Amino acid sequence: MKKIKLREGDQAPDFEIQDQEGDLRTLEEFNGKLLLLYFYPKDNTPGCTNEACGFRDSYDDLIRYVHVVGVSGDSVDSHQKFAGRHGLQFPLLADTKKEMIHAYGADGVFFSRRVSFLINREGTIVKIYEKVNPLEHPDEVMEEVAALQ
Amino acid sequence: MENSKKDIGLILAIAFASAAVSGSLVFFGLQFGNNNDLKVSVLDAQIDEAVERYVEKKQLEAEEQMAVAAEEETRNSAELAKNVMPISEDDHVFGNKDAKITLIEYSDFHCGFCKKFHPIAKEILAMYEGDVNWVYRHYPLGYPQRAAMEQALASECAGEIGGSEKFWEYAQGIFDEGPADDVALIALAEKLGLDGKAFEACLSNDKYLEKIAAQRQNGMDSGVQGTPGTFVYNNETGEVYLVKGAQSASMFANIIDEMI
Repeated sequence: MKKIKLREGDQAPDFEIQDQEGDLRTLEEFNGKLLLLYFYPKDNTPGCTNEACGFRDSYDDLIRYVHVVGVSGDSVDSHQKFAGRHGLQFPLLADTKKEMIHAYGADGVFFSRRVSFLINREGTIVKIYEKVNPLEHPDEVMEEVAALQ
Repeated sequence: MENSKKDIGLILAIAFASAAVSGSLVFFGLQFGNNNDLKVSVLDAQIDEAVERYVEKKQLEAEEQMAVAAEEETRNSAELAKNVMPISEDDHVFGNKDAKITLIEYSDFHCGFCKKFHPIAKEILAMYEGDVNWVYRHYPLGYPQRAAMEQALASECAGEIGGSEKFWEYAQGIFDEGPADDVALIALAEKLGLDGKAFEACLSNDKYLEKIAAQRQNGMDSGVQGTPGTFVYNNETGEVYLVKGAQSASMFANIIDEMI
């Protein structure tokens, strides 16, 4: 399967994927809002827990500027437990077929790569975070979205 | 299940026929005044003998089927074992790097039998004085539960920062404290003299997730279904044999002696 390489300025690929509650989430519902799609390898691993908990802790500030959505290849059930265990207030998309992961070029060998996409109100990718440090990423995103206002 | 139902049915049918014939003999014996006791007891003995012969035959058939199934499983296991990855630079090797035989263990820090096998492997290496070395590969059974994967990731970080020697010390440290969900991973690293900050940075980005998943997949492809699953691998000929579970050093010695 040919690997996709998105660039800043590209239109964000559409998606229609279940979140941890089993509700279908689409790119369209975020039209008119700033959206951070963050791809991560696996629920419950140390890095992914740090990253998700970082977004959780900054959520009240972040939500003023941007919607945060996590994506991995884990199941709805796994996401539900992961979100429940750590009190995550934002959607985690269960891309079990890895179609969305592939569409965004986030594929790894077994898991999704850790990469994030900041998408503007028109659905255009304005920033790609290729090198993500899970501990620093939430602050990094906060600075970026505040500057975009 | 279907066969055993048939067997029970057949035995019941024989017993019923026996009762019917005995009853008839008694009934007609009473009518005609014959010596029925003798006739019934001879018939009973013959029926008992027939039932015994039938049961014995069925037992033999079952044993033959089990032997065939075991032989097939051994053949399949030997074929799958050929998929195991030879030692590479990604592996942590304990003992003589140039040893002729390697124990390639697929293991889980969260598994009691893996903890039990750890000293056995060391005993085997001591027995063969440099002819056998040992490679630890990850097969986290609790996956995707957090602790098993987290401890596997932590051991790789210990190896990255301190080299293979620290990997093995760290592995021993986890087993000494476990199996447990709450091993203090950073404290253990610091106790072994590793830089806590570097260790935490390594652990916090799941750097070795793909490596661990790849090892687990290779274990599955090679026939490992539980832990510990240990391949006795001849580095010169590629001959390989999977030993399931925490078997004794003498059991491993039987296989190693055949290979050396």
